[in-house]
Amino acid sequence: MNAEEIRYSLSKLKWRYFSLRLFEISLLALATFLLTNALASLWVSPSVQKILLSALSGLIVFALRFIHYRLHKLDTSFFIRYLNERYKQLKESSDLLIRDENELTTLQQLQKEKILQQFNQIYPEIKLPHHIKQSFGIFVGCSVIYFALSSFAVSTKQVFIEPVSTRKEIKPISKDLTAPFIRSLSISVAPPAYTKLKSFTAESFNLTLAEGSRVKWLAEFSGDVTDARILFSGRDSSNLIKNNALIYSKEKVITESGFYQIQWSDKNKIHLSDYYKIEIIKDQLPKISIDNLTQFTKLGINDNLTIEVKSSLSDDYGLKDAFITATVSKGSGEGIKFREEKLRFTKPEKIIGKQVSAGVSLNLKKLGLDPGDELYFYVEAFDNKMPVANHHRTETFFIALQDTTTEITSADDGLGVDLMPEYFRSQRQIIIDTEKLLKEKKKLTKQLFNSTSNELGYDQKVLRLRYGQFMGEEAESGIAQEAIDHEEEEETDPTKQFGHQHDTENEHNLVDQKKNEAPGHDHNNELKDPNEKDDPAKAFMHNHDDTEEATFFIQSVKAKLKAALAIMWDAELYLRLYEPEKSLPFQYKALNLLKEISNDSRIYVHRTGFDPPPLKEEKRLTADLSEVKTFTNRYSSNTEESYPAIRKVLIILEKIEQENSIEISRKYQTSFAKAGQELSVLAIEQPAIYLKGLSLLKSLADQKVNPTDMQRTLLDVRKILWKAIPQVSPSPSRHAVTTNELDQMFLQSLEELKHE
Amino acid sequence: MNNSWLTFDPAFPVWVIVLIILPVFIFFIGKEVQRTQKFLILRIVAQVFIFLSIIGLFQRLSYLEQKVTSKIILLTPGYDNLKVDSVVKKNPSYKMIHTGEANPYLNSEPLISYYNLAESGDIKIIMGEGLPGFALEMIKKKNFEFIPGNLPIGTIRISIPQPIVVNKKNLIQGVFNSKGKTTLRLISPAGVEDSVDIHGTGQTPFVFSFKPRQPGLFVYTLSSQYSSSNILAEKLPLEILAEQKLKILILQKSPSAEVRYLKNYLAEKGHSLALCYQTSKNNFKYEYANLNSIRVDRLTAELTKAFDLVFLDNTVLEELSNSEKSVLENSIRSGLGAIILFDDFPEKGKTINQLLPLKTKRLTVDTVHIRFPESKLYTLPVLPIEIIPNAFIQSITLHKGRLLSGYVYSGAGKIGFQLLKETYRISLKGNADDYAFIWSDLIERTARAKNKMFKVKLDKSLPYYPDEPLSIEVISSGSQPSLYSNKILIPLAEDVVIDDYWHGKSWADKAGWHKFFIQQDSTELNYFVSNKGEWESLRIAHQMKENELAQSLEAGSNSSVQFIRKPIQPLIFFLIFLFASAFLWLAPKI
Repeated sequence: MNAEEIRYSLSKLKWRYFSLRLFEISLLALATFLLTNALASLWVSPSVQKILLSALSGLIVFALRFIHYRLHKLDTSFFIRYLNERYKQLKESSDLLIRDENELTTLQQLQKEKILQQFNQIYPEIKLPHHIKQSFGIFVGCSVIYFALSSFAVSTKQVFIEPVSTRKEIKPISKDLTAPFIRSLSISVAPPAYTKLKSFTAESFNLTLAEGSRVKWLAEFSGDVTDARILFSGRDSSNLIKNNALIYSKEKVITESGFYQIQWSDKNKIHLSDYYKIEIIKDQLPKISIDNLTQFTKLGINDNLTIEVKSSLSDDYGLKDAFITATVSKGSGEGIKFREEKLRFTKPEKIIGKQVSAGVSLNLKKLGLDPGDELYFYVEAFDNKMPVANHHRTETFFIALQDTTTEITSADDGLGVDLMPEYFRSQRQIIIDTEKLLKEKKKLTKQLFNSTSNELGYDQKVLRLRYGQFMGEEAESGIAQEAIDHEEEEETDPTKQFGHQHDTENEHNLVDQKKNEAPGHDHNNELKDPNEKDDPAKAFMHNHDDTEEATFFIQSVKAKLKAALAIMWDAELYLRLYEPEKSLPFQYKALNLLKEISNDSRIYVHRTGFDPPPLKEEKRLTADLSEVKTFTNRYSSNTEESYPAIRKVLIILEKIEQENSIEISRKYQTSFAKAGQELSVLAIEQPAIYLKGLSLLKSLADQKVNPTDMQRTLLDVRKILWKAIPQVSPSPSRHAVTTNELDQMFLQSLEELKHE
Repeated sequence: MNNSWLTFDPAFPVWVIVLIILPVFIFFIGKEVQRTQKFLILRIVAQVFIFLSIIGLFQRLSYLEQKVTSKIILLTPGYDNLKVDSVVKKNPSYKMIHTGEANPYLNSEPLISYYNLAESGDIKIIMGEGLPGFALEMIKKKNFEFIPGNLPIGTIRISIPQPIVVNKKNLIQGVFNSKGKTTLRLISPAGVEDSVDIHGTGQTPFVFSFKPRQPGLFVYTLSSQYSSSNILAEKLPLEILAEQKLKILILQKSPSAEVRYLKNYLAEKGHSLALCYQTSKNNFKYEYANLNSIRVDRLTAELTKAFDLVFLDNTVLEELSNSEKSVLENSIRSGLGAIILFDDFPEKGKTINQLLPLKTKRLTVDTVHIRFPESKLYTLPVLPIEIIPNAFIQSITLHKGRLLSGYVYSGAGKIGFQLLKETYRISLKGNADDYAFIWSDLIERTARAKNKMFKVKLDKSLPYYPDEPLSIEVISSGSQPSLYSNKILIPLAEDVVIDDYWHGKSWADKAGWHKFFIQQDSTELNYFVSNKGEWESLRIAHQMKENELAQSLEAGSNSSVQFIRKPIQPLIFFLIFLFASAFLWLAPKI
């Protein structure tokens, strides 16, 4: 073996070593890939991410081992070193083998000769270092783990639905085979961003989508068409926008269920597609429940006054916010006060997500509850719907702190409805407090004075809001304007001009009232809308549609209450400006008005129910019944059957089925078309149930059903039409009998038997 | 036919024969005597033979012949081999024959046609599912014993309510013979109406309830699912009738919420109503719904004839004049329905007791907690009386044995009563079905029925098959019916015993709906012919029942001697006539 051959042999060894190590590393990398993949399957569902993660870890292992073995820098010296270490017979001189003859000393040459012989002997038996066995073992182990864990992995089939192309042909519902048709229709749906649902391409032309989704129809026609449009629920239509010669598109935000149909024209001939449903999945209101409390909780003073409120909140697309609105009711009678607070949940602090279990501790002491006080609260939650969030609230929960020191007995005067709550006279309390504040003004620091004045202003606000509720107001709203308008009138007598005076001598206006009227001063006309002047009926109406009218109060009380609220605004204003002395006159005015209201309503309540028309004194007790006459009333009820065309078609379908007919005669086609009109009304409301029937009816009316499909189509239509027929309550029906001589004899015998 | 050895079946009446032949005979005998030829005696004998042969030819003589017939065991499909073994062992001399559909038994001969049953011999035992009705008719002497085989698996009895009226709850009852867990479903054209799970084997009764929504002729399906793959669907034909509107008169002393809501309910359903109540001493209020105004202030025969039902309250009833009472009673006897709305406990001696002779007992409880089918519990005021039930009272609403509403017959009419009060509260709660349940049955069953001239019915129930005879029965009210089936007049024969009861036979040529139609008053009977093979279990069960009823009590008779009448061949008489005539011709020449 000469030097060339030795180099060749060493080179061969190098490649052998490289291959072995590469195989070993590859096994390890593959094992890592499998192990990572198996573990990732347990948590990561999309397979692309999973494969990327696994490949990355495999590559890392591969690279690390590659560098570790220095395979990229593999040279002959490595083998020389290995041979010297491994084979003692080479006497640490294998490096001589690769050195040039000329460079060697004689001794070295002799040594080389010897080593060469030895090398020749051992060369076939040289074993290069590797860990293939271990790597293989690891690989096998990881493979087993992979197969074991992949059984528990998230099924990718459930999660990942490959979108099926909706590029199907739509032929017009007509027999014209030469007419252009929709070669393909693709529908992409973009749900609203807040739903966090992914955009998708609809799998079929029947759409089921989230409310507010943006839908894009992209239709490719087979030929030139004109006037292409989409008809929605048989009512609205939108023109399709021409993208190029054959492709048309349309985008629309869908907010209600219904159905659609594509219409296009060709040579002045209109073609229509089949009906396809649009089913909206409504954004549900947040669901809230308080899990650990009953609606009414009574606590004693020795009980734990820290109440845990645990609430379960959920929403279909996610919650945005939730809080507790708590109202503390303190005192009773004149001194009753309300304080409203918005309490945030503490666990968790932010209510975000589809399902949240939230909790908060209500420390009744901290909330200022004393014995006899009550806490009313409810949980209100908002979802993430845009632009206007859905919100929902629980029932009001009550927590009462029992006051064992007082005993209340009450006597009811027999009023059915207690319209006036007992905190009516708390205006008096505010006056007393204001007067007290003014008296103590000199003793108090400015800061304390201002603070107290502001607190009184707050109390005034609370009082105003409470009365506002009686007027149907739910928030602080425009009473101020009216307050200014009526300011002057209140100076004189703010109530009379609006009022319906009771407890007067001429209560029911039986006597002419002209003398009582102030000359040239007609307040009624001032208040009225000029347009309403000519409506004489309004005085006799009780208009429930108007929120302001929909109260328990009669007109005069409402007017007074409005005025009182306006005055309270001013009273509050000056208290807030730290000028209680200016506020006092308004407070007194408000109090006076409230007293009047109290009196008025008391009278009103006693007269609840029937307000008899005024009686003519001259006719009373005369026993004149000349105007009381026999009265005849004749009327007809509407006994027409619902859906007559559908009912007729049901009979026809039954007949066709019995005849086993595969053709629809012309006389039936009109009936099918009429039934289709009736069914379309139902299809708009419930497309999921009736749209298919509408489509099939149209096919039958147009004779577009294949004879082979006829039986199945008829059965489907029949089933859907039956659902349209409403179930009504039974009615008695007249029976029919045949009475012959024998029956008469039988009845005669029966009668005789009865009288025996 | 008599028991003498020789019998006649004359072609002409005997007196005609005697009147013609006897003078001719005497004339010819006289002529023979007058002839101065030899063989006088023989010629007279020949003449006698000639006349006797002529008489024989016209009288068609037959004689009684004693015949020893073979006894037969007839095997029909579904016979039990073990039972046949036993029967054969007991009666080894009996001949065995089997019908075409039945499996042959050892040495049994096939029955080629049911027509052969007439001549096949003395059928003593029929085994298996029996013979169809028309084949049974072929057997002249039904002195056989029927040994049934096992009942088939499937529906073996079904009862369809008649009539089925739209929007009413109807019940279909039946018996199913099952071999294991089976699910039965009643499927209407709209889908599954009701279903029943049958556990275990053997005969199990079942009930389906359904509320049809549309009148007409419909084919429902009764499906029985034994296993996931073993589903048998059979067509169940139902004729659903539309509601027939009533004409109702309501007479009230003073207005009440109960009557107001009842009136509104009936008017909304399209019934014609006239309502009258008093507003002051001389003033009344009249209301007419779906009806032209007519005078209702006085009960007359014409007025009551115009209505099907009258509602009256206690007070109105007591205030009726004697003539009005008489009119009311007569009208009820001739078919009018009346419903009494009680205000108070009916005291003795009052008109109400004459009209509605009920034995009552006063109670202290004036409320009832009642639950109607599939409804919630209602607490309703009730008149505090208990009606003692008797055979003449037909109950409609019963609560824990207490009669709350019902009626009694009075001639052809009925008088109903309702003890429940303030039932309008149920209607106010929006439970229209429960409110209708209280009133509709009472009104329907009390009101005057529509009089039809004819009633047509088939003597057998479902199933009917193509080309099988259908026996029709017609009840008429005096006149002869003209019954048509597909424009073909069906001949009808009146029953020999019962007047106005007619029988006929018809055949349907194909499966599907068919109709019998009476020309006089357009009375119709729709019936559905099933395809062969459908309702097989029901057909077999019916057939077994029919064979069981047809078997004779003399089944055990062992007599094998049979007497049959054999006609004397007319050729004999002809030859006698020929030879005698030939002798008369030859005698002068000899």
